Amino acid sequence: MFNLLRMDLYRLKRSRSIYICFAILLVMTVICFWFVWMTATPQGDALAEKLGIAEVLREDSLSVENYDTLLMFREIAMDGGAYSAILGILVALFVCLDFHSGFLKNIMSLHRQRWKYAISKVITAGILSFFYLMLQYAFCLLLNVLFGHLVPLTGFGDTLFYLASAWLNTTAFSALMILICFFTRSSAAGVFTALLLGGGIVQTILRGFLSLFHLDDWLNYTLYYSLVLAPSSYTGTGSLRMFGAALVFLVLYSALATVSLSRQDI
Amino acid sequence: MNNKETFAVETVALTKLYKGKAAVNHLNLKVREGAIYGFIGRNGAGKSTTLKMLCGLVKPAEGEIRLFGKPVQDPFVARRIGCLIESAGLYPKMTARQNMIMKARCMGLSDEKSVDLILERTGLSDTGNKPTKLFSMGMKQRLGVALALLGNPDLLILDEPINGLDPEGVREIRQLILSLNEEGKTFLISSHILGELSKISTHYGIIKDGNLVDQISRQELEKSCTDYYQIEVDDVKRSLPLIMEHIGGSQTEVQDSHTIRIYGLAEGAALNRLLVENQIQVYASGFHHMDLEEYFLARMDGSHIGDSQNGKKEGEKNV
Repeated sequence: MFNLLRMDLYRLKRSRSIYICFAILLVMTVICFWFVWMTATPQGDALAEKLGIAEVLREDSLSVENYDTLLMFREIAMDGGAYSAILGILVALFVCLDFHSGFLKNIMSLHRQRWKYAISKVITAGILSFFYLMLQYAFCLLLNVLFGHLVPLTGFGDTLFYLASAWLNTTAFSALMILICFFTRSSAAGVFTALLLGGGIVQTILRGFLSLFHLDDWLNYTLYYSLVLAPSSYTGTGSLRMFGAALVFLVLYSALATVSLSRQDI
Repeated sequence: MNNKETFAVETVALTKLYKGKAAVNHLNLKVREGAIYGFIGRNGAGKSTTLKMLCGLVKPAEGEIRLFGKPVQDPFVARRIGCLIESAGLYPKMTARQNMIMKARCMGLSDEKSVDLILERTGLSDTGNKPTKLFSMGMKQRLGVALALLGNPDLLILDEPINGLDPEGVREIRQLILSLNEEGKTFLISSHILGELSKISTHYGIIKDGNLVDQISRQELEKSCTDYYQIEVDDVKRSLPLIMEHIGGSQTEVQDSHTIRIYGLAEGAALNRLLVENQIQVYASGFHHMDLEEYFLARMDGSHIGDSQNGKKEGEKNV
């Protein structure tokens, strides 16, 4: 399995889509910071006046008084599902290329225990998500400094707590994407699912429907809502719920992906 | 047969079902170490499915596969085989070298020198930074062979390795296979290009509708491919009784409305004379030697050429 990981990391480093997806996340972060800077600072307001967008910004004015860097980070990428959707798309493209290119034949003729391949893909996605989260959060910190300390810095412990739970959650979501790719072998299906589930479209519709029967609380245990409702700091064992949900889904999806691949002919 | 002899490939009652129908049916394939085994069959006969099962890409419904005397599940056995199944599986945006490094990492090979050596041996060392999506079909096939060669395997399973190659490429691959075979490597090759296969194969297996109908060595094939006398006449119906009367115990076979084949005939001039004297026009006549293609087609039609001499039974003979 270590060899499979080495191989995946070699390809990941050379994949253009990993840099494109990361660039999208960074651009999104810059735009958000820029808009917050224009609404929250006199210099920004002056620039907005010059650009003729001050009125629009004032209508949607955002109070950043209660914000810190972690909350900014969550608002920009995590809570809206943008991060999960982008990561899901990347994982889908990465995994499906093995099938489309036919290189999977080269791999499977060497590694006949298919669970190793499935688990190595989940680990690769976990590594990718780790670097994405760390780098994007670091970029948020950098932007906060560049924009003149818009919001206060979050404590190290809280940051670590949230990033760890977000990492586990997004790795579990990657495992779901891997399962879907193994099952369908279609990058289009993978991308579509990443947008629908990662972006929370399905869950939001479902929540609306289930709320008619007062059953919408059940959805709090989905990966999407676990991420949205996750506490930013440790406040007791209840705040570990997100870890539990993510861990259960990670194990479940990894096992299902392994079973799905093992039952198929290549 | 020597019972202690180890085979590079040995299958026992290997079967694969698709929707209840047998794509491969109780196949008993035996490939000796050091052989170049040509695996022949029509489209959909079960060649690729068999090779995929040997490479671990398709799971058999029943039966057993042993490679070098060990069960196929043995992780060390997988290292001893190199596969090229259907098309070369390549990452399109990567170069030839990067694709090779990918497989080398997958195998746990840390030395990249072997990558360069194999690329040189397969004539791909000068492809530089060209992504494989820009490769010609022939280049892709050569890279597929190069990938199969990585790790210095003892058995190479190649499915249609010369597909899409130009004549020069075919010659290069042929020479490569022959030189690797001289080094002791065993080959199991399926190909539609029987003429090319007959230039290199030491043994043959013929598969029809998932059943192995024949396994034969080159020497046995040459014996089986007996000479025949072929005569083209204007009237087969009138000619046939005259020929039967003339040849006595030899076998005849009507090919079409003008052509008759006669097996076991020593001399043809007297027969020609006889037909002409009986006002039958002879357009062409001559002795021919059956080649692999003709042998294959005859076996596909269900004929058992030379079986009476060799005492063969379908699917049981070891070569």
